[in-house]
Amino acid sequence: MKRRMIAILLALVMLFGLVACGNNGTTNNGGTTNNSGEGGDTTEPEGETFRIGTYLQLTGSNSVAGNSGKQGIELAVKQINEQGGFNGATVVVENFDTQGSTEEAVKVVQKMLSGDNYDAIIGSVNSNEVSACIGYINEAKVYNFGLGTSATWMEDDSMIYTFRASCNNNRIAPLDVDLIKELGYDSVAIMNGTDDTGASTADAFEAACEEKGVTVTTRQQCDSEDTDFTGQISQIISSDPDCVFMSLIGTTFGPFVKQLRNSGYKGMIGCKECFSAEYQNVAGGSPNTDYIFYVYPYVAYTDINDCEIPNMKAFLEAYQAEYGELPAHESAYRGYDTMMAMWEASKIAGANDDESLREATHQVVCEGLGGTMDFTDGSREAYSDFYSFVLVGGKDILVEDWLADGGYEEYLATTGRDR
Amino acid sequence: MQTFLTLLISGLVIGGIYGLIALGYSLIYRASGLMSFAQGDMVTLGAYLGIFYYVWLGLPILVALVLTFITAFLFGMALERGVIRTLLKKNVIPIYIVLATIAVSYIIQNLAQAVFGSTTQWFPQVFPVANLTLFGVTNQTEAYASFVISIILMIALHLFMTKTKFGTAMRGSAMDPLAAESCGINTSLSTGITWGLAASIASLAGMMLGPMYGVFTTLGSTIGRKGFAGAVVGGYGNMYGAMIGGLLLGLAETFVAGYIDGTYKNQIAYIILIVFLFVKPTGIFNEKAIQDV
Repeated sequence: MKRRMIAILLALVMLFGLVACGNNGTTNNGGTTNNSGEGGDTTEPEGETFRIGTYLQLTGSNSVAGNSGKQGIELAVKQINEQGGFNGATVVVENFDTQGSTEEAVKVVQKMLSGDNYDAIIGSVNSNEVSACIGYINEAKVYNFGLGTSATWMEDDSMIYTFRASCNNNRIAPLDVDLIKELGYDSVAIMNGTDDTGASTADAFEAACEEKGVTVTTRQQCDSEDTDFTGQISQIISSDPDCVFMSLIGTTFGPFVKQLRNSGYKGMIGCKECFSAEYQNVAGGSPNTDYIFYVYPYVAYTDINDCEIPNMKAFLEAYQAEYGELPAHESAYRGYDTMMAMWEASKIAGANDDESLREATHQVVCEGLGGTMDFTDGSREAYSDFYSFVLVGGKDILVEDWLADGGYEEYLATTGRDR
Repeated sequence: MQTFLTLLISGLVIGGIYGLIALGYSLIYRASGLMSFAQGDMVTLGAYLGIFYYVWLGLPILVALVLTFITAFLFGMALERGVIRTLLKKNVIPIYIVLATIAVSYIIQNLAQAVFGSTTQWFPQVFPVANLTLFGVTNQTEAYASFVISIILMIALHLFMTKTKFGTAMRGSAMDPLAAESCGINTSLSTGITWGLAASIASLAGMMLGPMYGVFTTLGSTIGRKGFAGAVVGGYGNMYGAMIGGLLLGLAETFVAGYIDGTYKNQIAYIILIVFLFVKPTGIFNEKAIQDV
């Protein structure tokens, strides 16, 4: 008995020790978070409401993206409600955790749809979850947005209730190739994840390379939970590319860049998305993360003062005031832009029913965090113009500015490479 | 030749980590005849404990290493005392124990997320020199260190189990608890210590992985599964087999990724596992834990 008590005490001491010294990474603000679709204790506001259900990965290895997306949505909702909500209706958000599982995502979406309690649904930053769920949502004719960046789930033209206010990687991939050509490169090695976004973006990138005359020296793949890339990196280096393009996910970005640099590769590295502060930390920061270039609507700022885009700066200030930190992942911008596009549609529609909102979204043209969101081309996508950046010394610099300021010559001198 | 050397050294580094985790599986099996599926999460726990002691408290790396070892040891013992033994006393069937360890695995992952958040935690480099070049192969200093520590731990454990009175008592308890009890050996204590050792060895692996891969809640999941495969390949329950099995898997997957295709990297580990289960279930060291019938 005495021994058992000691064992229990030890366990409790360790548990409380960890909890007492820790910080909670999830801040719930304005929304209710549910695990696996269990009902929440939302405090119902008075008057008419517009209920939004979200299915996001809030736990697990890629949950930083889901949690950032959730915070972006909730910040936008707070601002929208302060300005009268959706046509006078208070917006209420209820978050459901997919745990990074497609099956769980389908389960929670079906639960949302079965009760007919939600006026709109916002989908996961994980495109495979969106792909699995939008069929059910469209069948129920519920107005919805996805946060993932894969092209695949927007390819089906019958999904007329689904929109995207972030970006489509397949629209970006050809621009990545254009940038590679602009830098004077003829060849590239591809490293991609086997997940939906990683693979489909790499497919689009490879096709664009072929079309634009850039040689793909090798294409290597890894799983989303891989941590050691030595084998793939050996093949990449032995193929002697002018540069490397990575289409990875979450926890693989940082270790891959770190191992690639450790293996002696000093050249430029293309990225399918902006290389967030989290990735930079894991990669070891500058100089490992220097000369990573990307084409994307958003930049993962680590300092508000680095931002020179007025509405983005206002968002960052509001985000920091609300959560005490800057977004850990750019999906916060995606969530915010999504809510703002929906709000704009509600203003155009003058009504909050699914059909009115769906039709009105095709008329939305407004300023988003990544530039102008324009849904008028009928593609149900917001962005078609993107910025090109290069990461140097932890700062995201516009490629045109970097080139104009002699950055490329400095890169050649620093790395000792001839291209 | 340079590519071969690069792959060889990297395979040994990751194989050493698999071997350490496999060692934990085998120790637990030898001591209690049970399987723990929380072993991979002990890697995660160790990595987070490393962050806690080294980054948050700012303790010197060696002190952090020792404290991580001790804390994980206590956690492993508490797990055995508080969960495993409680279930055993209820005479539950072994699968319930396995299920309990799976539950513990999820608890560790979720607890880690509640405490440290969902972002990948940065574990700063522990050596003043970021990279080392050996035989023309440049690798992270921590990667080389992890291989050296793996080998040292394996030798230390071998000496502990074979040359010390307590190690002999532990082996005796595992082979025949009743006979060991009659010889005055405290089998209860030795089983608890074994679980503690398994956890602390895995935690050291986690602390070594932190600076290389960053620390996140599922860090140990995939690596833990590879470690399990390594333990089976080497001969489930055999300490030396665990290390050899781990190294073999590390080398196999690195060479497959380097010479064939990275797509098959993860598959090869499990293909080898299946092949061994079909052809030689007793593993390289002919351990009788999984007998061919």
